[in-house]
Amino acid sequence: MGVTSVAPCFQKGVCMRREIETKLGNKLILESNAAIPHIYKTIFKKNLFAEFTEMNDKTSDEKTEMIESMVFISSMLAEKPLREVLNMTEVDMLDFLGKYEMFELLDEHIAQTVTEMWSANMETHSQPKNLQSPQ
Amino acid sequence: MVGKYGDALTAKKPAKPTVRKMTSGLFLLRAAELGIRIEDLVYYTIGDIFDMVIERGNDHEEYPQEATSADIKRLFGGA
Repeated sequence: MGVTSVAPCFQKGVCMRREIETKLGNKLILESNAAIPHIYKTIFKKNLFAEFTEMNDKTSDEKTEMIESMVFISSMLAEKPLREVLNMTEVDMLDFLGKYEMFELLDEHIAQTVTEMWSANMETHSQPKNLQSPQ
Repeated sequence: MVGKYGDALTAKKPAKPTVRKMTSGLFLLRAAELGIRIEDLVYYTIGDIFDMVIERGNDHEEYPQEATSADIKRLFGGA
């Protein structure tokens, strides 16, 4: 259980890939990269940046839905080319969720992995030279 | 990074953090401005794109020049 592998950026076109195991023993490979906000908007018509920013204001149902959506997108990114993922719909997500037992994906460590991967995806290293320090 | 700096990364100086929210559309625009095609987004993290936007903004800044050996000789009264 937990994170078993992380691939470095540009290796096989993969920026971030993690393999996790659900509590029922099913393996999930999740991939995270800069295409995720666009895919999320295309499939779910929502702004992913705002979704994560407003995470604390969400109800538990909304959080669950968001985590499931992220697992779906990350999992599809790991196994299909971007063009195919962009053509997917919410029906495809229901098909995906149907492969797992109820509540199998609603696990603390899966939610934590999704959040960690989002944080790592957003991580920057450059500093703007002309930006005044926020007050 | 996004919430904190918003669109200030590409604003004209003096830049301050703004309340403009990052959206998927704005993110795609920034990537397109950098010449990154949608299909190439899989090769980057979101942070990579922000880093490039920040560095593009830094390109327009002025930096102190490093001293050359001639400058050092002049400083110490050399020829």
